[in-house]
Amino acid sequence: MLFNSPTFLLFLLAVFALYYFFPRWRMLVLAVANAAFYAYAGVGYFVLFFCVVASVYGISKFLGGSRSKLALTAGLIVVLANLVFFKYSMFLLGSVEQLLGFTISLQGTPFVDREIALPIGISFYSFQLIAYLVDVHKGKLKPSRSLFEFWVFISLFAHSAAGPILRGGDFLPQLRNIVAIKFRTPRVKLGLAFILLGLVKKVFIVEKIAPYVNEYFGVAATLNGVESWVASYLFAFQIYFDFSAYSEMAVGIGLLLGLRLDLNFKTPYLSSNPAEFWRRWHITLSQWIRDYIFIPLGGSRVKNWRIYVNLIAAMTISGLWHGAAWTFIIWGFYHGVLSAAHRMYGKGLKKMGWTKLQGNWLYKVFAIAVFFHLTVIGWVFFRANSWGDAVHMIKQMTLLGGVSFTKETMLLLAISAGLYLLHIVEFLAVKYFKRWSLGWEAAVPSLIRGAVYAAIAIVLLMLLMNGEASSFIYFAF
Amino acid sequence: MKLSQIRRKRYGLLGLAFALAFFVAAQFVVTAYVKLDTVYKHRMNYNMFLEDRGMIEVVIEEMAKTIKRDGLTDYAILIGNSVAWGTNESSEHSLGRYLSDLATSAEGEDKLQAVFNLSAPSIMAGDAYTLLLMMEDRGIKTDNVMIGLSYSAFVEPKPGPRQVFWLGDYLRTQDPKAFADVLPHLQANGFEYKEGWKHAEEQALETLLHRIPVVKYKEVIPAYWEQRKAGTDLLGDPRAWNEKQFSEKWLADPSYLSFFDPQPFDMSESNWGVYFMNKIAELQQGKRLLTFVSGGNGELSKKEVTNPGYVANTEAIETYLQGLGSPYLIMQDKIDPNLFTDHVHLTKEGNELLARFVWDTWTGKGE
Repeated sequence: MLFNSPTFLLFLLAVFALYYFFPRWRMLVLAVANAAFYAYAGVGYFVLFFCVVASVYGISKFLGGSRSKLALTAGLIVVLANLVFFKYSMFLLGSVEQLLGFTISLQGTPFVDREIALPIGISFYSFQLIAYLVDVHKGKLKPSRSLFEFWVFISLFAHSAAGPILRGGDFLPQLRNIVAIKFRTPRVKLGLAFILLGLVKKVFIVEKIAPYVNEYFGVAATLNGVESWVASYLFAFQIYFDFSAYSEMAVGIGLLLGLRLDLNFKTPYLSSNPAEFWRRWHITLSQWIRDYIFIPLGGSRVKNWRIYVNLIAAMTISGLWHGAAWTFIIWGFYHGVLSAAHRMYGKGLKKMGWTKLQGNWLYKVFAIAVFFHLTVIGWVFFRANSWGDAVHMIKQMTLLGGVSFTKETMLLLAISAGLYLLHIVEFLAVKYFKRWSLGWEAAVPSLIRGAVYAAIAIVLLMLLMNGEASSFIYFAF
Repeated sequence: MKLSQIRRKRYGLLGLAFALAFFVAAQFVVTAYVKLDTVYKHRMNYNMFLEDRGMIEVVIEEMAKTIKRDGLTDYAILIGNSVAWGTNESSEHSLGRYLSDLATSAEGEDKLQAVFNLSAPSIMAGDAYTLLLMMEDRGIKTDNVMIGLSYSAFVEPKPGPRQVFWLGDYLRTQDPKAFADVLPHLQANGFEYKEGWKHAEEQALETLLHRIPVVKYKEVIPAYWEQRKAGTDLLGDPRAWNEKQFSEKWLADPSYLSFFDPQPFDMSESNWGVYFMNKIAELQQGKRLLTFVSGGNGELSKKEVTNPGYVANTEAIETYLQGLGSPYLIMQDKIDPNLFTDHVHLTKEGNELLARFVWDTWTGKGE
């Protein structure tokens, strides 16, 4: 069920009404809503999801005891086996075949077309389950009290499809207090504002630029330098606005229900270096990678060369998490190398006593511009349909083959610049949100506010009813 | 501003209440804005129909309102394909306009108060049948019906145009039995058949959300404004065919050739053109029905229209229409080739002449 579909909005309305009409039954309302939300995508996958959740819950009962390690291993096997089978098995098979130079026949098996439909949100719920198992094993988190509670935590419809990746320590206490949650107008208004923001991003920005991105990447092998930059810029904004739209709607839904879900984005294209970028882009995944991969690998408490290796390894795993393809792995590796290089660069600056430079605003602007373009180059690997396409585009982006503009590329470059400006506006809106929202409510008469809300609702409704809603990019992960 | 005032503002729901009031008011405004001439002028706005085929409901609804408001009792319904719609000409020079002029200016018993033209490019006999059922549902009398088809309406698709080209989903609710019969043919020719939960969901959303006027008219108003901005509703090039270039490649195109397919027609009910024409004839029992079959350009498409197979098939269509017992008109070679804009569509003068032929046949003054 897509957040930008009329069906979901009606579903949300029904859940919202039941949730506040029957406060004592909130857990039940959410449990059923989560099941319905997931089953909508496919009953088979819902059954699988539930079985995985129930198995992990059962196994987690042995965590913390004398057989904790065994239970942790068993739990991780269940989660990873499910993830690997659905997401990586065909990729692994293909890679092995390529390496060994032969083809394994799948004739007579259900996988004859070498495709396995990916259950929605499998990567997200798998990471959430892993975090839960590890945290309970380490004694950082008390196990969930019941399967019912555990199910609501893992499967909450606001985040089950594409995050944010919730941690038991943050979320389980909220569920335990769910009956006491009161209907608070400012919070509900804020929730609606987040949902609206997400819808506006999806409908007005993503839907408009997606056809150009698809068209350009569809003929990637024929693009010249300027066209390659245009395609990459547009994809950079498509993926940001698409994923942040979904994440903000998830936060908004949480607020409607009085539950706090973590923000996943903080205007990431204003980052001046990789470390900052990963604190502002897909934050809950970055934190997960840090806590469950980078730190267990030794984190920053090991020798310098090991830190670089750890950074590259963690980011490569993050790339693999996104998708079963070499382009994703290269994308993650590329970001790992950027992170390592930046760390090296920081050390160099320190050695030369130039650390003050980083405080200079001109340097900061320059660093943001450079890092934004490095990020855009990285997106080529992420989006390209093949390794060959990605290499062709990167080569073209050096502009060594010449620079030629057409009316369309000029227009699309202007649109890209406009989108970056919008990104800055978003940064300011978040920074001054309290002041601006207060000003909006206090200084603008209710009549005018009402007219603006109604106009937005009408336009959105018309656009939402315009054909089938398009999926969010991260639903594919 | 005092803290208490700020608090009141933050907790207040006045803004949302006004939003709700504005939203409701907008529905009334939009409903009042849309009239028959927003969606129809001697023919329906095809661009609007292309954007959302559900707009046919709006056209029928507005027609029903006009009929009721103006107390119309004697009117005719014209349903046909692009020839009857008037491709390559504006609505002012379309068959609908000329037929309407003839019908409303006629004297005595023949006079009609209006001719409503529900034609659209690619409309097939199955669409025409569905439209008649939809109009009856809306309380529009189908006492006087004129159906415009072309030779290609009886060509066996292999694959080809669906015999319910646009309105399959409506046929599904209007006549489930006919829909079930034709479904394999529709599916074989690109019709997306939804069933189970997906279908139920779509139906529920349609029923619920299309009651909201801003959703219902979401394509209507922009298309109307667009047309007004363009200053014309002309679709295509109105010049006569001999003032234009038709390449050999165009004349060898499979879609062009299939239009005149000379393979012998099976004129039994396994031909979907026949199946739906029979349905229409059955529906029109005791009411008036006229069928005209437009002809191909005798010069541009000479090779095709003189093909013995084409000639024999045209005769088969004539024999079939004769069997229906209602007036009919086979237009092949009745209109001068110079009055064609391409292989089948007509110039302004061609449309005027076609209207005269149809009207004379309708009134019994023709051949």
